[in-house]
Amino acid sequence: MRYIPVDEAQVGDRIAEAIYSENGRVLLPVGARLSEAVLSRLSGWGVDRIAVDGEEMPSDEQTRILLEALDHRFTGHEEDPLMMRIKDAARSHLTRHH
Amino acid sequence: MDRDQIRTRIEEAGNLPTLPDVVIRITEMADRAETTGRQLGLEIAKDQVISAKVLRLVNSGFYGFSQPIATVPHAVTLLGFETVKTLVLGSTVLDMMKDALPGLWEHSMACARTSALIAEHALLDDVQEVCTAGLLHDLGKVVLRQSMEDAFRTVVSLVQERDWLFVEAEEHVLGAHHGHFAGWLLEKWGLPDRLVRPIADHHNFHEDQPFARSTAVVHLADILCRAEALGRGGDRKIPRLNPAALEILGMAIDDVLGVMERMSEEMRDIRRV
Ligand SMILES: [Fe+2]
Ligand SMILES: [Fe+2]
Repeated sequence: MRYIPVDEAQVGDRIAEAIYSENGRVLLPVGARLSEAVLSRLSGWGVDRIAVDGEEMPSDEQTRILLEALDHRFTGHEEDPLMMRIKDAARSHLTRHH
Repeated sequence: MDRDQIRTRIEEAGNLPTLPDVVIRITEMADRAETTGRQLGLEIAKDQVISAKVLRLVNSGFYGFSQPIATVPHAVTLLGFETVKTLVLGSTVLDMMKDALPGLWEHSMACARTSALIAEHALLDDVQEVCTAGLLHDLGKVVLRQSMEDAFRTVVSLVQERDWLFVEAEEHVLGAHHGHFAGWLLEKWGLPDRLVRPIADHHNFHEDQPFARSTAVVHLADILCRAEALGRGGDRKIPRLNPAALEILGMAIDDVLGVMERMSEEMRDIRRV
């Protein structure tokens, strides 16, 4: 199972965790396949992430991507001690969660 | 296009997602001195679509209320009328946020929560108001897309090709940026300066500006959300933190790191990109 943002969901993806409405009604049960029609309705339901069948991205790979993006974001701020402290803290949080 | 022409285009964009009747009605009501917050709450509650949007926003978690808020009049009591009105008006634009730039909605929610965390830490008077400013701080990017789609596209491709900040590309193309755009529109909507200034000036913090403390909060929150990769601002870089913002908030770097710690604990669910 993997979690993906709704805008990355594809027709044919299989739902791995039921999707509920705000008042607890099941909108899509486990095992449902996403159709074009359902796909276009998902964000209207206020859903932004869904669980679908498939391999989770290996977590060290994900971490590597996040850290690369972090380095990139802070280019040009290397001489700024304040920005570097913020970067260090962000790095430890990014590696902790993945 | 000169600045006045740009401003006119932006202000006209405010009418684009044709402002619902209820918005016009409550704006008129709000301008009359004898109107009470409760009357306004009831008026908003008559429009189910708008009140559902507002209630969803106030219950999204970034304000940090422990109890769910079930009615609009209750929201008005807790948040104050100006904040609710801002949410009513802003919700028309927030709807378009998910289409405008990927990750901008997540960035905005994270920035709302972070603004509240900072405002609590720095003991600002109205935490909810600053939180609302944090939520709407990048609204100008959506407004730009709505009002001048060609310019928006040019900005987006400059950001990609030259790896600039979004705000740098906007300045390059238009000589103004999304802070200004949002400021013009919100002013036209008649929102108070204490909500408008932090949004308009979040990329130009200066300690001598009006509402400098609230502006400092949003300026800092934006940078911290980008640092923590919570959502996306539409570019791959990060603006520099103005140290004067920390000074005016009475915060040292260790306070900032404390806020970041709480952000990363509280916002695990927000997509990191
Ligand atoms: Fe911004
Ligand atoms: Fe931002």
